[in-house]
Amino acid sequence: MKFWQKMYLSVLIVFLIAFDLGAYGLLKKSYQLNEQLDISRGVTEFRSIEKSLSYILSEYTEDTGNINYEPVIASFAAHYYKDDILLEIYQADQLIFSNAYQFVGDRAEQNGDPYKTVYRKMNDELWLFIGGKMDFKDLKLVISRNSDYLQEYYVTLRQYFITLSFVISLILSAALIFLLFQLTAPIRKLNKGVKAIAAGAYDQRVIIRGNDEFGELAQDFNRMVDAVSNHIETIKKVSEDKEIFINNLTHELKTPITAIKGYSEFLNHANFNEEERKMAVHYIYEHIARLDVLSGKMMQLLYLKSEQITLEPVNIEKLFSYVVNMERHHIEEKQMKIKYECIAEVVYGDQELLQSLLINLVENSIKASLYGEEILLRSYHYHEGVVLEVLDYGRGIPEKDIAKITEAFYVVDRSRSKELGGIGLGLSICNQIAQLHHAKIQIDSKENEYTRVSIYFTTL
Amino acid sequence: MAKILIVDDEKAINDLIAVNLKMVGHEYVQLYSGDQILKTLNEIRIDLVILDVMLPGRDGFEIVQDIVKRNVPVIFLTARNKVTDKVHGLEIGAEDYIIKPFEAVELIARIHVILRRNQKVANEFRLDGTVVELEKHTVTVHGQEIEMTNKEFRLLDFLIQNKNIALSREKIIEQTWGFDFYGDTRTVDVHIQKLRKKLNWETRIKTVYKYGYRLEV
Repeated sequence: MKFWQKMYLSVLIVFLIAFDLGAYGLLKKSYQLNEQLDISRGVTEFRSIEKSLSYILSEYTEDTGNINYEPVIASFAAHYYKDDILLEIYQADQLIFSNAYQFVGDRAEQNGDPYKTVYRKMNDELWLFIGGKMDFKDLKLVISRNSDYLQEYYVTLRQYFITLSFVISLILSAALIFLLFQLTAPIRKLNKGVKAIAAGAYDQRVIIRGNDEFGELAQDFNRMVDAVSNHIETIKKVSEDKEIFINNLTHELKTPITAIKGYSEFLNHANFNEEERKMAVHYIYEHIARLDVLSGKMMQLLYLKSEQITLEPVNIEKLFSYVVNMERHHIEEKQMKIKYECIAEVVYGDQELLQSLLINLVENSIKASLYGEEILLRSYHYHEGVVLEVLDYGRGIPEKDIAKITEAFYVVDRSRSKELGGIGLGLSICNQIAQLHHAKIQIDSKENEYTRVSIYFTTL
Repeated sequence: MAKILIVDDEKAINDLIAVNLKMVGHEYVQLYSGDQILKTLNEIRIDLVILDVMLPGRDGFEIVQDIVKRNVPVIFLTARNKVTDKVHGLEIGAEDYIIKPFEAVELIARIHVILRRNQKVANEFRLDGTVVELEKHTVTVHGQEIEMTNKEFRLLDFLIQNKNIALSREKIIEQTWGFDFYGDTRTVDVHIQKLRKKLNWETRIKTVYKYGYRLEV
């Protein structure tokens, strides 16, 4: 059962019970008051009849000495009969006159002193009996009168209340349904939104205006969805990155494996000449070397991912001179020059990792540069941190590739990169090292003009 | 023999395909990116293209339809081993899809199937006075017709397809008898002996020690 239906039924039931109880009480009280009125009227009548009859009888006895009262009473009673009042006269429990219906049963009113009233139902009609001693001798008088109007009144009123409660119920139902429908509209809206989001539409939000509980709930719910969808996004991104990484790694492994497998098969089974043999052996050797580099870099990358480093002060000048010394051979090979200037002197980090980072960057620069060109290493202060910079005037990076260049295995020009022995992990490693230092790598480049890689260290 | 265009940006792989094609007597042209393919097709009559998918310039999936339009069959040779890639490659017009690392014998067999399907293979093979008519299933030695069983001819066909390459006994059984053959590998030896005798190829069909046989041309 829906909430609004429950609400509707509960309100309706409570109202009906309350209304009917009230109506019943009112009815009872009203009937009681009417009955009292009826009785007091009856009693007044009884008194006046008793007085008149006692007087008439005493006069009659005095005048005639006759003790046969019946004719007197009969004519007297006939007078009241017109007013629908019936009389019974008893003398010492002996009925001496009656124009009322006779019936057997307890006649408590006979013993009334001065009077007693009893309501009786006879033939489905209500009668009021009032009885009591008369002043005259030991006679007893019982008058009875039809009081059925009381019952009719009661029935009419009850009928009225039933109709009233029915009509009010109808009006109330309509009003309740309308109100409840309006009031529960936010719940339905919320429900719809929740269902949509549960079905995977994480970009949807529930829109409910107002500051009531529903509005609050909707806001809280939206906040929850925000949090959940953020988490999902992160998880998706991570798993996508992982998949891309693994795909790239597989691809990266496939080529050397294909070459080694193919050439060894060739050497084993084919009818080759000396030149072909040399070529095959050369390729096998070259691709084993490539696998070696790949596994080394992979190990480094995996190691970096799990490492926590301690930041210690590193002298930048020493760092630069170490890197320059390490790359001396490559530099000389291409008749290049490398210069460095240190405005900032100290950076906080892990010395070996920073060396590895700079060597990677300088090697990239050497590969990108032509014979005789120059590479510049710089350090300077920037806001509260230190920046290390590697600048070359080589072939540069196309603008569309700059954003992707730190992704694992991404190389701008595959065939050229392979010739230079690159496998696309260098910048990925650099990025990892930078992250361990809470540093950011920024790459500016213009094709065929320059490439500037800046590492912003935020920790002093 | 057919002229085959090899397109692969990895020089080592490109050369590997080239030497294997050379072994079985095909001619070849080597390209290292997708950009020059159409130009080459315009200039030289090419019978088949072996195409890598991930290429600098236009990638293999992009360019395949242009090649197929010119009625040149294409085999994809790629490291992309996803079934969806394979299905896509075949749907957009490639005749076959081979995944790296590949086996030379398999590559050559598939090339042969496609060349034959496109009727771009020679129907005749001549060596030392022996003429094999591949289409007609007839063999003559110095003009004299030689009786051959179906199995013997299939073995001969397979050796010719893979001339200069050593074929293992298992490979020979797989290709000529089918996978469901449960016989001894000695069966191969018996059939090779028969072929050598019938065709006077005692020196041409070399035994490769502990491996199999090679037809040397």
